[in-house]
Amino acid sequence: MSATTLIAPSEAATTSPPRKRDRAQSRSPRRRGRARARRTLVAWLFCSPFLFFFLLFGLWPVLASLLMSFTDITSRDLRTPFNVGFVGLQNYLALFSDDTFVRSVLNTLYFVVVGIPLTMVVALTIAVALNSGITRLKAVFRVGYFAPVVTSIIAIAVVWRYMYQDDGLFNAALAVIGIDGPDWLNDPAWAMPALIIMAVWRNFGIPMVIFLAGLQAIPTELHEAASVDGAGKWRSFRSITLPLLRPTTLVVAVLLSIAYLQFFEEPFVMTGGGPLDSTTSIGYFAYEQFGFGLYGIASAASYVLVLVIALLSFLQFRLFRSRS
Amino acid sequence: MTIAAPRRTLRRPSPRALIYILLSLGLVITLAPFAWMLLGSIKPTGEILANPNQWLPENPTLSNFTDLLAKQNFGLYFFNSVLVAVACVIGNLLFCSMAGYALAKIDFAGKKLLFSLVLLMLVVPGIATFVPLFVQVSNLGMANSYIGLILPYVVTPLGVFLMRQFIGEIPDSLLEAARIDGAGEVRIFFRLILPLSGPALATLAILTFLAQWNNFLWPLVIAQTDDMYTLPVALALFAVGANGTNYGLLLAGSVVVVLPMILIFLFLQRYFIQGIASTGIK
Amino acid sequence: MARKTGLAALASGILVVLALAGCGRADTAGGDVKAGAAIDDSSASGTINVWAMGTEGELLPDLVAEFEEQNPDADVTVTAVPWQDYAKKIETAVASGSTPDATMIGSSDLASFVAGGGLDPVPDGLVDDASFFAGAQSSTEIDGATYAVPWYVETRVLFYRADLAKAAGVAAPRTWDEFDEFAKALQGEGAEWGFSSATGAPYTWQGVLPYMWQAGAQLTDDGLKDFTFDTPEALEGFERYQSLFTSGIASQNGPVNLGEIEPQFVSGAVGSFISGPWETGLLVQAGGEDFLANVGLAPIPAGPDANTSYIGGSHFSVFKDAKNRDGAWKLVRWLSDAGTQEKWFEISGDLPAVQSAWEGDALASDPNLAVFGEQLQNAQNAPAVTTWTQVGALVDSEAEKVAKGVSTPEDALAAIQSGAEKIGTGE
Repeated sequence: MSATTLIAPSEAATTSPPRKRDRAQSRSPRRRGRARARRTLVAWLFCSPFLFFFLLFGLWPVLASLLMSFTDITSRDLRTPFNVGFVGLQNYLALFSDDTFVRSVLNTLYFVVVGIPLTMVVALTIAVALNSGITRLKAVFRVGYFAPVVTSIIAIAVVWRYMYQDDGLFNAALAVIGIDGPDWLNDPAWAMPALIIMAVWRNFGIPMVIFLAGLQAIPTELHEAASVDGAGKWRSFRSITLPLLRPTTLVVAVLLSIAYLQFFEEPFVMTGGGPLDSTTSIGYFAYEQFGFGLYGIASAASYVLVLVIALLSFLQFRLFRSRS
Repeated sequence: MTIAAPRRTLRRPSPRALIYILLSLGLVITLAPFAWMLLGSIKPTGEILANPNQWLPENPTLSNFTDLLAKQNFGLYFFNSVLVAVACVIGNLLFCSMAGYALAKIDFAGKKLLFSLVLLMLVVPGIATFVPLFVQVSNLGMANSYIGLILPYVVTPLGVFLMRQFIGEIPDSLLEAARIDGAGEVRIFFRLILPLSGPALATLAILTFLAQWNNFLWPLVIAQTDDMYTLPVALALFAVGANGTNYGLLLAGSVVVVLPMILIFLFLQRYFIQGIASTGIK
Repeated sequence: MARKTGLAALASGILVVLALAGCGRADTAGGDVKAGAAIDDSSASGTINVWAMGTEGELLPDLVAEFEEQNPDADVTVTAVPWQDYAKKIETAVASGSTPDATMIGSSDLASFVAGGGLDPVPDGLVDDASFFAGAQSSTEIDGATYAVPWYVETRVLFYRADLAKAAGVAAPRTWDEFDEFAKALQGEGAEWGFSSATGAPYTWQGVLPYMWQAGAQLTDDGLKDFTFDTPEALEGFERYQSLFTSGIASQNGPVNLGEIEPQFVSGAVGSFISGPWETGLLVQAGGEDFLANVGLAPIPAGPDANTSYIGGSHFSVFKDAKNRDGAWKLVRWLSDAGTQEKWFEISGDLPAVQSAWEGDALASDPNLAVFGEQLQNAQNAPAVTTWTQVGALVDSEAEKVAKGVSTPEDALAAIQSGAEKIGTGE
């Protein structure tokens, strides 16, 4: 059995062990050296188109903005860049003494910690249901469940605001089961859950498709064997499907982390960061600072975000690797 | 279209009926806001904003669409959007899979450094690099041109990351076999790796198209004249004012923007399945 | 490339600075800006590239066709720019030196663009400063120089449900006290809220500052060097804002997004609110042409000092990097001509910034416009300091706390003053 999964964590971290093939190749060290040099050349040639654009439009602006985060640059310095002053870590210190920013970090973590698992559960549940042997209407379901991903958020924000009104669709549905729903978007405690629900709706489509691809690659014989052994569905799902989906789950988790940590659009179109800063995210905060022309502070806020994302991604990689 | 063999364990009818019911229920909930958008696009603005709101239009009208399509240059904006999105998709599919292949399957000096850089770039929010990137592109003389719209997004770290993860899972034995048969790396890449990477390429194509199709800020600033506008920029221009939004135009525009995405997905989802079937056979 | 103001310079500049870590910011004091060469009366020539936002951008070509007739050698190219994020578009264009010749700019954003250093000061003698509404003209004067010519103005007046007011037997209020009774009377006729005000959404300050002005507050010193939010007058104004919510006239959860207020007003849930000249069009969209019969307009009710409203609108500026500076200023001069301003009103409905243009038939005959005309005599602009965007956002967030009852006007005002001092006026 091979190729059971499409997405591999095998060398997810940068510290992959050398492959056996390499060790087993040639016996002569010189030939091995020459072969490696040749491979290196070929590999860099393969990377060169990517590298060219990456350096020009990726790395270079990133370095410039990273440097900006250590200066007091504002929009007024753009024509006279020699005027900026180096301020060391002052922007970063200023950020963490700013209550709104600290709040935005906490809000972002709240959104991520609740939002990512929820999105993954929804996406996986639907993917499993779609993969459970149904044949009729399968394409309709797939496209239907994918539709929110392609919907424009500005257009859809209007209807979501209606649904979240005090006398809106959500509370009408809750009233049916005897719950008196909150005034979602105006209640500092409920505005964030409201945006999380909206974000899950908007974002589960792509993880669903990736999970579906992962599920379809699991050989059916495994489940059949488990069934013969008397394992129930849930048991077979937990002991066969989930472990084999781990690489897929990793990619989904990383994609979602990157997307969710940059949480910005939902507060932008729904709440303006309110009520009382309860939905201000790091991304929203940075956007505002750029709006004020405070490029130094805004860049620093962005790199705090980068640090958080990098840390989280690293933890995810470690977590998934240590278990496999 | 090849579909995996039906599973014996799930052949009993009653759970399947349950699955259909649950899936349909979930679909209705999922599609409700989407349906509201479609229905809203044929309502006059007053009805879209009416409170309490009705699902079905009282006075259905196509005027939102005719108003939108009557706007000068609308066809051009659509063309610009397609051109930019397609060019970025092609660039990402080709260049990122090439780099992804090297990073996944070739052992070479500098590999770790390169991949670390890709991972790092993956997480930098676009807004942070926005001003330096603009100055860079503008200094290269690319402002107000298609290449200025396209080149900054013609490769993405996300593309390389995805392709590397997917390609890494293709069994080495296949590559070894090809090498023993005397195939060079280029041949292996085009004849073996790319055909086996269907689902990955489809995923990347969808993600790239989606990102570029909806990109607003970059086309807004890089265009100096309105003949370089893409659909989202034009839509913001026509529908979102300083003091009020023309929701009729906005919803109609959103429908026009969404349709190509749905078509792309309909088309590409087949490749997910085909690609999976071909790797599954091995 | 001719210009090297770009990333190379930016990055190397930062690198140099990093290397010399500690060397401070060179003192680039404002106020010593000299206006460039005067503009003569000969006709304009060459291509003039202009940016204009939103509807104005779509309609401007109709107007400038006449300019092109009068100046056969000139060719005006108008690019319509979305309002959304237009500030980023202008900022990045200035940063890279790839600007058009002239651009329209929202009046409250002008100061922050001046800070970017990309705008050409208005040449001496180009236009008569006194011909514009005072609030419009003063928003173009920043750091001791003038950076834009007013084009059109808007001010805010009271929109109320005339049908409800008639049923309750109340007339449009003229003072704060009258207003409270008026709003309660509307509530007596079935309106859930007598009034609606923004409670923290972006630009809430445009609704809050007028109360302070109406109480007689001056929010900066005369030289625009320091903020003065810590005055009894400002406090009285802020308390007035708070009272709207504590007295139950207005909801603590005001509109957050554009398009939220109109349906509430049409349905009768909200009895009155304050808005600008564009509102009539939005109300027609939301309630149909017939609904206008139920809408009354009145000047803002007066506080202890005056009935000051907010004045906004748009100006025209010319970029330092303009390739056709001469033509651009000539176009701007033509746009601020009283006759042109009247024609523009007929094309777009935008209110003329030039006072004499209001004497024409088109404007003088409309009773609703007369309300705006009257209010414009008593309307103030936001403090014309380069940091206003930031201070305004601070006012928004503190006003939200007051409206929602988690802070007092005293505490909020103290927070605004200390925050504004920290931000500074950009001097």
